[in-house]
Amino acid sequence: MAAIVTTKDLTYRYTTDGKAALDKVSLTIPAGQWTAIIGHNGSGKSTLARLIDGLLAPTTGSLTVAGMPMDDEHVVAIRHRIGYVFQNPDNQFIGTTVGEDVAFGLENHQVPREKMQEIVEQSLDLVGMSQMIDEQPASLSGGQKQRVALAGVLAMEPDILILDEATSMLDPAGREQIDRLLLKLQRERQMTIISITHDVVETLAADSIIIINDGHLVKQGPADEVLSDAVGLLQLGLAAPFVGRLRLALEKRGIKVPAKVTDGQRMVEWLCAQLS
Amino acid sequence: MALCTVKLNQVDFTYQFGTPFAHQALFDLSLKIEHGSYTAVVGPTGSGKSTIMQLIDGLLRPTKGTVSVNGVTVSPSSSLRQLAALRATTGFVFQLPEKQLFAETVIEDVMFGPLNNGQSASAARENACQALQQVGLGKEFEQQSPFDLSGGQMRRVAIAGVLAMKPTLLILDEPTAGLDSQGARQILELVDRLHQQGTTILLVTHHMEQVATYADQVVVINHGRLAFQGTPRKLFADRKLLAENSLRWPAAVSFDHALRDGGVHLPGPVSLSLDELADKLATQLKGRDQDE
Repeated sequence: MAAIVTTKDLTYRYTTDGKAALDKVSLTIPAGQWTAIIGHNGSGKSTLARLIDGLLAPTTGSLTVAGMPMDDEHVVAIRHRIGYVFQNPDNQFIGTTVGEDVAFGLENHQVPREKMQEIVEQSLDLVGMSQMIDEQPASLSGGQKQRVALAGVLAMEPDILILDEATSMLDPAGREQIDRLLLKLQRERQMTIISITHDVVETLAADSIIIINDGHLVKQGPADEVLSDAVGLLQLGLAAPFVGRLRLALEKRGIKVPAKVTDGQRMVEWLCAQLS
Repeated sequence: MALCTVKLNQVDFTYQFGTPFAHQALFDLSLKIEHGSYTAVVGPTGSGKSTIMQLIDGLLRPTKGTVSVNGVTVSPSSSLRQLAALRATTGFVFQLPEKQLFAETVIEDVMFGPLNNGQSASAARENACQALQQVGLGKEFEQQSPFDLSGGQMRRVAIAGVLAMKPTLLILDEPTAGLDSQGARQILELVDRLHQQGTTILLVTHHMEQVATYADQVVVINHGRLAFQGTPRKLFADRKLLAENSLRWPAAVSFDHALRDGGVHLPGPVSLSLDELADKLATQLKGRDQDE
C-alpha cells in the first residue's frame, strides 16, 4: 500500500524552550484508507494533523504529503490536496447562507458559476442538508453546522480528508449516516481519510488506528487489534469499546473471560455457551 | 404534587418571526421539569433542543404560549427585563463553553459573573473559589491563564463561572463534546454531585449511555415537538419510539438484548448500564459454577 503521508522524527514545540507537543514521531499513513489518530486531550494528535496540513511548520524532522516534501515551495500545492474539517464549525463559517458558505472554497478556486452551483447542491445533498441551502449558518444546530462544514470541504474533492473531532455533535443516527457516506466516498474517490478523535465510537469505521500519547507514537495497527486491548487503552486515558469494558467489569467481579473473546460477537457466543 | 422548576405551556417559537426568513422551530410544546430532577434532553440534531434551553434561560422570547422558571413567567409580550428575570436562578453551560473564557487569570474569569451581578469583590472572590473547588480545580489554578490549561480543565473553568452564580437550575448543552473519556467522566461526576446536592439538572446530550447512567427523566424532542417524556427505562423499552426519533440503545441495552435473544436467562428488566449488566452476569456465572 502506497503511503500518502510519511513523517520522520517529526517534532513540534509551541514555545522554543517548552515541552515537545510532538516528539520524534515517525510514521506512514497509507493512501486510500481510513486512519484514525486517537489520544486523550493534549496528547499531540491535533498538532500532528496541523503539521500534515502545513498549518504548523515542524520544529525539527520532516514530512512528505502526497509525494511532496512539506516546505515553503510545496505547502500550497499540498494544501490543495487536503480538506480539513475542524472541531468547532463556527471557526470556519464565512458565507451568509449555507449555500454561499459551501461555495466559498470553489469561488477561491475560480470554478465557473454554473458548475459551482451544481457542486454546492451535490455536496449539501451528500450530507443531508440540501433543504437548508438558503438558511443562515447562525440558525443551524451544532450538528447541522458540522454537516455543512463537511459539505464545504467535500465540495473541493480533496484527496486527503482530515476530520478533527468533526462529528462530535452529531446524534447517533447522524453519525452512522456520515460514516456510511465517508466510506462510500473513500471507495469512489479513492480518498484518504484521517480522523482525529478520542472517542472509540468514532473509530469504528477506520481501517487502522494510530495512538498518540504525550507527543509520542504509542501504537499503530489494524483497528480491531488496537481496540481489543481494553487495558492498554484505559492506561492511556482512553475508553475501550463496550466489550472490553465488560470484560474488565466481569474480571473485577471474579469471572475469568478466555483471551480469545475479543469482540462483541465472541463475547455473546461465549456467554450464551456458559449460561444457556 | 411535585414542585415544578420549569413549565412550558403550549409554546411556539419562530426564528425571525414576521420576516421572509421566518423559520418555526417549536410547535405547541408543553413540558414540565420537576424540582430536583435530572432530565436528559435528546433528539436528532436540529430538532429544537437548544432552542428550548434558550427559552428556559430567557435568551429567546416565546412566539406563543408561556415559559415559567422558578415562579417567573414570560409570554410573547414580556419585556427584555422580564426575560432576564428567568435567568436569575438558572445557569447555562453552552456548547463548547471554553470559547467564552476571556480573562487573564482563572479566578478573574470565574469572578466575572458574580461581579457583573453586583456582588462585592470579596463576595465574588469567595463564590469563585468555592465554584473552582466544586469543579475540582485547586488553589494553584487561580492565578494561571485559562488559556494555558488543557481542554478539559478549560471547560471546568467555564462551568465554574456558571456555578459561581449559585444556580438552582443548571442547563448543560453537550457538556462532554470534544473531551476525552477522563475529562468527560470528571464533568459527568461533577454534574451528578450537583444533582445530589439538590440542583435541578437539564442535560442536552446525544450519548445514550449518559442518559441511561445519570438521568432519572428523559425528554425526546423531534421536529420541534415533544415526542416523549418519562424514565430512561421506559424510553429504551420502546423500540418504535427509538427508531422514529433516530435514537439508539446504549451499548449495555443492545448487549443485554443480544444475550436474551441468544437464550441467556437474565433476571429482571433490561440492563441500562455496564455495571448493572456485569452484576447480573457475574451472579449467573457464579451460580452456574456452584451447580456443577
